[in-house]
Amino acid sequence: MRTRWGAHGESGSVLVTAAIVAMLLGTIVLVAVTIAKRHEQEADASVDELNSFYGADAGLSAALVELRNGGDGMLGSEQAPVTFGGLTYWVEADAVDSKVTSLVSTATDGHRQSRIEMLVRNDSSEITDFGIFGKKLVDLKSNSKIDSYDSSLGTYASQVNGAYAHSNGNVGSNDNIAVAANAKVYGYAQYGPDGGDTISLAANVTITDGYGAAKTQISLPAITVPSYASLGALSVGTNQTKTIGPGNLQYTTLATNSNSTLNVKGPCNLVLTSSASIKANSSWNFDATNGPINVYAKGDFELKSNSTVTTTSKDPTKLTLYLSGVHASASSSSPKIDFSSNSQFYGTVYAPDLALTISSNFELFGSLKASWLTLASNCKVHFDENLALGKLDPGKGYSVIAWRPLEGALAATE
Amino acid sequence: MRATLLFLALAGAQELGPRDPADLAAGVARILSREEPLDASAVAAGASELLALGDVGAVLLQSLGTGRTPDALEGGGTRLGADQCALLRAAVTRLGPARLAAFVDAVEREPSSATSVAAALRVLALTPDARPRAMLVLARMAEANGCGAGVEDALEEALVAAFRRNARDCAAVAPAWKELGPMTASSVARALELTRDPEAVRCLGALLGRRSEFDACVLSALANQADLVSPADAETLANEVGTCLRARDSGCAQAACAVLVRLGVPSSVPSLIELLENDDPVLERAVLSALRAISGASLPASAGAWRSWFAREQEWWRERAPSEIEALAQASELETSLAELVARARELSSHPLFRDELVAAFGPLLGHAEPGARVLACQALQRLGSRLALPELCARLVDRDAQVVSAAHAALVALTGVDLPAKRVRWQRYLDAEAPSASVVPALGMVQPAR
Repeated sequence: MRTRWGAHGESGSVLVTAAIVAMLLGTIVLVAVTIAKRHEQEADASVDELNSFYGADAGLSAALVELRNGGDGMLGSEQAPVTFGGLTYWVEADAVDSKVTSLVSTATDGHRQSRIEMLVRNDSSEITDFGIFGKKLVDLKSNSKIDSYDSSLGTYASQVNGAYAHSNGNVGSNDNIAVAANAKVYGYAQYGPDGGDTISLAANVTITDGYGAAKTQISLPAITVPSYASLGALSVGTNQTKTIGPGNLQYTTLATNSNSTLNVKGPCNLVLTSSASIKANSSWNFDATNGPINVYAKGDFELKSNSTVTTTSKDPTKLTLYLSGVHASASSSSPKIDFSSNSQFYGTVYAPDLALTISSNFELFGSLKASWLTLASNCKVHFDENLALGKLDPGKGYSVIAWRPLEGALAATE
Repeated sequence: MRATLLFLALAGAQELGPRDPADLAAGVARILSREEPLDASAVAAGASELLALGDVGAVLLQSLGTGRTPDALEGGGTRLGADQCALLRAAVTRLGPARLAAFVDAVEREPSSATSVAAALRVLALTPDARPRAMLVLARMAEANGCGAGVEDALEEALVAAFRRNARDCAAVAPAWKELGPMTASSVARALELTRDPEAVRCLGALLGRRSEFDACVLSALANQADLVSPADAETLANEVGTCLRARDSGCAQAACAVLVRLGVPSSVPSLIELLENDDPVLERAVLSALRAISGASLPASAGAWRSWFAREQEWWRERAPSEIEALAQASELETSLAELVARARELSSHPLFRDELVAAFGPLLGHAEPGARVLACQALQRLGSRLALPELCARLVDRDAQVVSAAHAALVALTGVDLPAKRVRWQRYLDAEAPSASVVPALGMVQPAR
């Protein structure tokens, strides 16, 4: 009896032990399954998070393209987001200042949401982006040509490949542009933003980067003419040579007669308060080897036919003609402005309130800004990209200046 | 001096008299260079003074050709301003028809110099019975002789003068079109553009497709006066222009985009979408700009996105627009609440693709007795963005309610980009000068919603 009782008791303890072991195993399996499940959920969440993050980034890319194409950078909305694969996104655009825009892209896969902010700067349509600019008109007569080159890389001739050097010879106006037969613009042509502003194209016209309306008007800063003690009238008689500069010089009038030569040495600020007339068969030489030369002309400025303007330096950044006179209309004849000189001019001509007609004899390497601007038939302008401050990409130049995921935005929306 | 002597021969100068050509040229240059503004009597007096110098015909005609004072002064002449040109034309006219006709005949026989051809064309511009055909023949000969580049402006001036004298003369261009060189053809297209007459627009339309190499030029001229195309003709013209979107020449396709933007016809959207995913990035940019301008929507360069958007817009136009327009039309009769009007105006104004068609829908609201409804109409028209609303908005500037005046003024400024004061007279003057002619702009309520 005793033995039987003992055998019965042993079998009970085995059963209990087995049950405990089974429970332990079950717990271990349950824990393992739970952990695995948790890992799986975390992995899923991570993938969702990554998907929404990529979706937000794609939204930013689309918004940037949108801006570059002339849009406002806003895509979709929270109520009507843009569908992108299995994701949706919307992008809000806010102006930080006149040049910088904040783009915030929000994307979700229905569970997780990501937000990224990107700051972009509008480098488009700076006045310096344009090789030639006419506030009220650019009139390119037949066979005229505008291209570009970079004076910091060498001469224009060394950069010419075929018919032109570079294709940033952009042409701009706040109003109208007229391009006559066979004219060639190796760049972009941007006319004014108002509904009535136009571009007129003749036959056989080349505009390599196309054309379009500006988004806003471009301002041409006013000229501030310095003032120095007047040295009276400067006249160079027949067969004479005179040299002025360096320094700050102011004359009432400047006149050269036949077979005369006037040399100006830089650095020099030369102010002409009344008139400048470089007559036929005379020369005006600018030597900017030792420093830049700025010429300020407040009245008449005539480079007559068969006169010659030469520049010792072939660097257009070293010479600027500031013409501060004002014309009431394109056909105004006062002050008298004449660019008929037989010259290869390296520099900038800046005349924001004047009507300028550049003759075919006057080949310009640099840039040209005026109110009404006409390039005569066969005229050539080679815009120096070194004078540009922007991206040389009028109407489409946006650059990214900052990018960040927004803190605390990676929250589950479930 | 050689040029002056050549002109003496061409101009059939009579005996020179006591003064030599250099003195005459200097005298003419001195009178033409005067800077004082010239009124009609001063022009007449100046012309008499010029002719009193002696036989100045050749000198005057040379200046007429160059647009500059005679080459008498040291370093050549200076560019003539508008007043000086008027004086010069008056003096040339006084040379008499026989002398001028003889000069033109001589140039026609030997059109070898750009200056003489330009002078002859400007003489023809002054001749009331001169026909465009004669001008085209002269310019074509000059171009064939290699001196076409200097006569473009003169040809434009002469043709514009002829077309403005008689708009039916525009039709004279078509038979000569096939014979014209690129410079003459370009000047013709530009002259038709500058004429700004519906007859000139029709003529340009007729030239389209006749010479593919000039189509970009014709399209550019059409784009710049699309405001003269009546709404009834716009769709037909848009269809014709749409065929140019497929032109091999990218410049022609870009110019076609520009015309379609100015016409703003919704039916041109599908053909633009087809061209959206183009290999030519310049053309793609032009197409996208055109789509955005026509639609008022800012979608990316995805043909799929644009197609689905356009399908939704068409469906809305078919299914929803008629009832919404009808409801607005009955707003005053049914005493609709302002909240309901706001909802309807918001819905209608959020479909700028149909901006021109929808302008008329806001007519009843602009005449609503409730000032709030009139303000709402002004704001909705501003959002809609159609220039066809300008006359009605201008009329609201004399509304008895100050808020309506303010809203109408804000809408006018936004639609035109011009910041004039809120005075009806000032705006009416601007609209008369700048906006399309009243005959082209339909009165509100005349445009039918269904296409």
